[in-house]
Amino acid sequence: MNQWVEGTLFDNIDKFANSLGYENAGVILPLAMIPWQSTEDRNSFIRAITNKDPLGGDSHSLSYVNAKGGTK
Amino acid sequence: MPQAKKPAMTSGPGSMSRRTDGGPASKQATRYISGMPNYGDGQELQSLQASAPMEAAPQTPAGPEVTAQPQDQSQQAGPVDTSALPGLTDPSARPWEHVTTPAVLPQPVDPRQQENNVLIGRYLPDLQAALDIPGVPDSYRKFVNYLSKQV
Repeated sequence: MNQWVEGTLFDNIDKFANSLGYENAGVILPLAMIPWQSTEDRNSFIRAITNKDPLGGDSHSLSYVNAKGGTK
Repeated sequence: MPQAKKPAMTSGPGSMSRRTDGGPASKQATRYISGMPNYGDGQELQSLQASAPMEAAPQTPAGPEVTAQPQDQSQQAGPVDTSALPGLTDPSARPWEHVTTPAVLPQPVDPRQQENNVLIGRYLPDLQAALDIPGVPDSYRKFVNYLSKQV
């Protein structure tokens, strides 16, 4: 992989890990492996179970939401 | 009475009759079993053996007297070598601990955490390999570092 791409397995892991908490690795990895229809589909799921916007990095943007919920 | 070493297949009439059971030699001898829990048990057992002797195994010499085994096997254990054990007046084997330090019980293992560790151990090499992807977010890097410390 030449570039970090949204919607890939590793991006899913990043989003689920930072949205659900690192200690839930046992749930994060299986959820990240689900073939989500789109990133919006995945993000909707995260919003539904956490009641918050997905957290995690976005390498394409300089202002991504970090794990603590702040912006960078 | 002579014992028949080769018992006849059939017995003839009258004076031609022959033993067909092999005689007393074909039966097991009774054995006295000592050490029975109740008085008279050994004698009773011996009389029971005599009333219905079992067929002798071919070429089996009579064994020694059998002694009933005690139920508690630990009673049969040999003497314990105590030379390796520390004495009461010996210096402490754990000099860094205070005498009132309690015994530390092993922490119970959380089965959920155990499953997580198995999962992490399986996928961690691939997750770490993804750290080389250009543009990997810091949040992903932090997560993988966290997992590395867990295993």
